[in-house]
Amino acid sequence: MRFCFAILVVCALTVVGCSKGKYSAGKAGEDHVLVYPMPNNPTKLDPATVEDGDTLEVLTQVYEGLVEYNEHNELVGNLAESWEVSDDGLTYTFHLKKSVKLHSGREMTAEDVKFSWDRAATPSILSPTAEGYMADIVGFDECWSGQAKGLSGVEVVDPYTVRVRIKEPKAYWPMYLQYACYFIVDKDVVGMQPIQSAERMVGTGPFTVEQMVADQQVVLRRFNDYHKGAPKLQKIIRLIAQDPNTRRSLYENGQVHWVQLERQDKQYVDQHPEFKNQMHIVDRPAIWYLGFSVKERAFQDARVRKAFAMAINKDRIIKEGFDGINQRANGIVPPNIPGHNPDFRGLPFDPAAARRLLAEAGYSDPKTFPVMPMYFRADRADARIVAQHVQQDLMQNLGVSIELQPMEWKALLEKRNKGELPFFHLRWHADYLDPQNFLSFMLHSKARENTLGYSNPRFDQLCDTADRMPLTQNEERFRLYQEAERIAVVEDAIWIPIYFQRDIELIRPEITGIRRSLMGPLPHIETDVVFSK
Amino acid sequence: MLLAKRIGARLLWAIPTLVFISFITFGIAELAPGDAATTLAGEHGDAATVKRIREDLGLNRPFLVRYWEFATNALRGDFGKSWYPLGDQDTYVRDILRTRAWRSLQMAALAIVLAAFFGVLLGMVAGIWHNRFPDRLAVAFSTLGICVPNFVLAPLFILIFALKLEVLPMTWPSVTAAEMSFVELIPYMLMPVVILATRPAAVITRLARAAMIDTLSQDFIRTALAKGVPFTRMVFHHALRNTLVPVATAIGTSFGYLLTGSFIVETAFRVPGLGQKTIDAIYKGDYPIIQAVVLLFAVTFILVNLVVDVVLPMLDPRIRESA
Repeated sequence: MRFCFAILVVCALTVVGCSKGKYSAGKAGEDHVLVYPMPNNPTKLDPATVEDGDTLEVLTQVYEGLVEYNEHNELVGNLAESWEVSDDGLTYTFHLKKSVKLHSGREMTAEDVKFSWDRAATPSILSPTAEGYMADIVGFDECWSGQAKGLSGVEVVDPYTVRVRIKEPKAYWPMYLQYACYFIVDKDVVGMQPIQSAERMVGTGPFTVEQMVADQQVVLRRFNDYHKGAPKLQKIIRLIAQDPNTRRSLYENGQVHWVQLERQDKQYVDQHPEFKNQMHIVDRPAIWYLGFSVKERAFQDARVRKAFAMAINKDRIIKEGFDGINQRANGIVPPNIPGHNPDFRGLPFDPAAARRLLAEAGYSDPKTFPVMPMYFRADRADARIVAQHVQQDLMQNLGVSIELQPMEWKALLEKRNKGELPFFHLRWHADYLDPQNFLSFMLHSKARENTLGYSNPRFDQLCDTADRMPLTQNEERFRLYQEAERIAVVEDAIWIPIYFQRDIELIRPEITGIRRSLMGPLPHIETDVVFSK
Repeated sequence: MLLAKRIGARLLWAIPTLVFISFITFGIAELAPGDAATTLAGEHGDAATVKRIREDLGLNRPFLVRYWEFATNALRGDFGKSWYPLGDQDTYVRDILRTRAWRSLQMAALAIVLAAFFGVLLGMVAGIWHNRFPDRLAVAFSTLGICVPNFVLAPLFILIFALKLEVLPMTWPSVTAAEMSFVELIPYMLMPVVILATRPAAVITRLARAAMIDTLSQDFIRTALAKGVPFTRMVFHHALRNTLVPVATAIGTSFGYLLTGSFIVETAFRVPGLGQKTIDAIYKGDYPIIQAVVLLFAVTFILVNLVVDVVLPMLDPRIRESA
């Protein structure tokens, strides 16, 4: 019996010995072919309907808008060479680049711009973002309700000129144009139904969609007639890999050249020192915060909210939960966004003062404070880390119990939209790089996103004034936003900023030319990967 | 005749079972928090957009009307469209299932064959060398196999066999798999199939071991040995058949585990099967796919257990007589 067992072991070792190295699968890959994973299939193929960041990153290689953010986070022309705004701030005239080719081979003109925007505002497309980003255009309401065909405020002046009228002056309005619902599609190919196949994905971007195999990969091919010159990469292959362990292993195995780690996985790099030089920490324009609903009686008193804020040790959360990767947030507007106040300190960590505030609010015995649920995304380990630390801090420093309520994302979204989250941990990621997107957009009493019931007339007035000021008065504009931020964080403590997001990426040294803005990777025009040197 | 009656009765019972399962599956989508229209509208979606999406998908119609439509269409194999279509091949649920079900069933079938073979072999060895080294090894394996879950085994296998030893490929070969023969795909299937087979093999080992120990202690075995029947013939001709009865039952119940276990294994190894698609559908709330997969699993489970019920009397005439 032992003899048979020994024979089995020898056979197994022989098989292993013969096969070893056979599946080392590309410690080198193919030159000019970038392979990197994405966690899910693209959710939408239509720029008018896309929302999630992972899908957007694919679509920004295929479609473009009139403007874009560059590596310095400046809004610059892309399909538009230049633009002017009238003195009253209500009319924008865009001059399009000439000889921009669509993937179908035809030249893009102002008719394509008008068609693309009219299309996004048409009810049949079911765009979830059109109303948020296009409602300022004259004629939107009529088009959106189906009473009119097309946006009356968008006019084709000539084949290379588009004029847009908006309802009220908003200096930050052009920033909306870098959002996906404003991307330009080929009016002769796309039609008025949502794009649901690769064949209809026709834009002006540096890559076309060569292949899309659900649950396996998306392959993008170089567009040789791209208006800024053919990209260096021949292909981009996005492998679909849902499991983060699998994505990491694919990188270790050499099958992918670039991977984003989960924020709590820095220890993976510590355990693999060979990847230390390949690690990049990337800032994102996103804030993870705790929010209160003032519809909940226990949180109607600002002293209670401030007590919570001052009892939470953010530095410990960042150090213990994320190995110090993320940046402590004192305010709401992330760094590198114009208008960010680097000197703003917010509310300090001061448990003694927190207990005093709670007592002043009528809870001298913290045990009398009702046990509140704290909601967060169940599928995010980083959200759970923060939630657990917050629960601990509130118990230890304030004597208050909270009940953790992880919730599936769809359910959480629905509750948030209905304003049924009394206390929660969520993220807000910028749609454009302006403090308006964090302050007025989220906390103005009339803002659609404000489901907290928060209303402060001074906050509203500051935001209203700043929203209307031209960009030439940015210094004063930002000062107003900063004062509004102080009201929201220090006086009212309606949000408790925890950290500004940073992502950890591993990138093979063979990859060069990656361009980024704060919003994420820019189209891979200059990116290249060469193994054969 | 009796067998035909049994099969007929079982099939008749399958109908209300499937109706019940379909009703529950459809109903859970209604009861679960998180409206599908809200998800599709996303973070930016306002009430008007959510309403429009709901109308577009027909979600504003009464529950029973939608269920009746779902059930009658399901009888024709039509489960409607995915709410997240990704091209022509990935729009109709029927097409999505067809391209993936075969892969998952293939792996499940291979896993069960592997599990049955090794489980019975180890169980026999353990029973024959009861309380000696082979028995202890088999018990250790079966304990580990039952205790260690798939989601631990998957990254462990990847680490050992793909990253360290580099003897097996890490994940499925993406689109080239369609052009590869079954034999060429074996290295890619090996890890997922072995992981899927581990727990069933462990359970079968335990059952086979117990059955073998019990059978070998019977008087007729002692008599056969005393009469000079060779040991090997005695084991394979007399004892093995008794061992297979509980094993056949275990195979039937293990099939359900294999189908659900495929969710984790296919996700870890990027196998384009039903499990991976279902996980994707669950995350997105793509209910047409979730409902279809649940029904398909229910049908498969019922059929497999029907086969087991048919095979059991063949293995043990006493079951046939008592029925």
